[in-house]
Amino acid sequence: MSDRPHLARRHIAEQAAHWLLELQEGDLSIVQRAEFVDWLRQSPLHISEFLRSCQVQRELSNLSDWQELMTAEESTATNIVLLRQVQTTSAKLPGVHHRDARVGVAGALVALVMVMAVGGAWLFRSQSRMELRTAAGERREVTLSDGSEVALSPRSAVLVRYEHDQRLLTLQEGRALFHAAKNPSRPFIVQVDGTRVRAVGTVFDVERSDGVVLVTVVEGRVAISQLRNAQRLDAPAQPAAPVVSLSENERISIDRGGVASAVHKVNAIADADQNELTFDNETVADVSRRFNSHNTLKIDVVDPVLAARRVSGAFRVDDPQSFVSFIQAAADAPVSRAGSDRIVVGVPESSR
Amino acid sequence: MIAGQGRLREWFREWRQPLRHFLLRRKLASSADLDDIAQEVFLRLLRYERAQVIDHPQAYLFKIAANVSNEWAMRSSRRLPHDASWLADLIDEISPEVETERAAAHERLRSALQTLPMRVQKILRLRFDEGMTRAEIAAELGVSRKVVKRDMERAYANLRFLLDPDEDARS
Repeated sequence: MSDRPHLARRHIAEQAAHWLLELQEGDLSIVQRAEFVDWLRQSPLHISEFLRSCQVQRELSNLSDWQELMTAEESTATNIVLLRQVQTTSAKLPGVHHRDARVGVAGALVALVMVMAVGGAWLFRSQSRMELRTAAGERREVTLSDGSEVALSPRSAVLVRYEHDQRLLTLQEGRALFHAAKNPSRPFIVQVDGTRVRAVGTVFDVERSDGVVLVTVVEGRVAISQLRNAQRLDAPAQPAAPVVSLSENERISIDRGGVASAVHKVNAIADADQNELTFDNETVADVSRRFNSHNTLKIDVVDPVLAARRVSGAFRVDDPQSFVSFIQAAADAPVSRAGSDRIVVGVPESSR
Repeated sequence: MIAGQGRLREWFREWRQPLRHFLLRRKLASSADLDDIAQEVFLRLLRYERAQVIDHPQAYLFKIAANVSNEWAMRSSRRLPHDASWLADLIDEISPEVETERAAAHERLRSALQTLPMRVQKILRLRFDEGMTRAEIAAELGVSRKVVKRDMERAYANLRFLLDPDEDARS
């Protein structure tokens, strides 16, 4: 441990942290930005310390096991629970649900006051709704009123509902990449089936294919929870435990029953390039499903053993044929074409 | 790469990648190297019009820093041929080496965090684990926003010296 870093240098390190925090707190005025630039142009040491400060912050934001670290910290238990700790931690901490309850009550109060003060019409007008939809082969990127961005893959649909206290986006089908603009008083929430993804200033990707939900974080972190009542989209959401926290380069898949897989490591940047389909240790059945949701040519894996096999790779999403060739070579599986839009892989059990 | 792909993807390539490259490369550079890199970044930054940089200071800074550190990595790999693998952009892939290095970095960070005062640890957790703003943290802990900001600045500076022990040898 370095107990006496050069005092001058230490002072610069604090200035660097000051600027980094200022830059992140929101839009700086032109005067402040000019001050920052002047500070950078004063000394190479300023630049060095600023870059180091970014490094420190990056490591902090990549740290995922705060829970474990802070076990000594008594009162404010958090509602974000790591998947592998779900069994042990969530049951033990008495304060686990406090935050949710408080937020819920506060939200309800705010809503009530608003209705009383200005009437329902205002509330209705303050919401903005929009449906974004893409056809096969179409990609679209939309900047929303708050500066958040949504990039839709082909055959995808997102319903956007901006309300006074939250930004709620529902992925109805397909896949989209979200870049949430920071605004902590209006959480950015993506809902897909019964799954709720809450962003913490983040870029993340959500894909829904055949009832399975895939969430991949490119930058920052998200908290994922299951809704108790998946149908009621506009209900002040009540996330049911367990809540899973996902960091950069991590992916989780959630099946129809709301059961989450283990967290996978992925190269999220490559994956966020929506022309690519990357997978790591996923089953042939899951990968095929992802290809199928993007293409008219469907892969049908009829051999259950093959379907359950785990594979890793990266392919162009519009080229299912190359994936089929890959399985064919890797698993020595027979492949046949059935009609113009179906590829049958493997031999069904019945005909063996 | 592909034209007309929209702002978000542009942002990835123009801004997110350079910073990432820079920060990953930085792990390979010793502390002393980083000061030299900063020296070069400084000189290049001075070549730009001040008014030009003011619109997006971070973007300029990181772009220059990424370029300089790339050049740096290339130069040092010429001196040390066995390091040539780092040259490739493959660095972005999650190789076992990067993974091990990351785990070690997390471990260092964890023990460094534990040397900080309890309130500071709590502030960092609320910030990074729960994504609270400084105002929210201040309300949660019943302190002023100034205190939260001051604590965070000190924490960053402390962690920076704790995580970079080379620094002692230099001064």
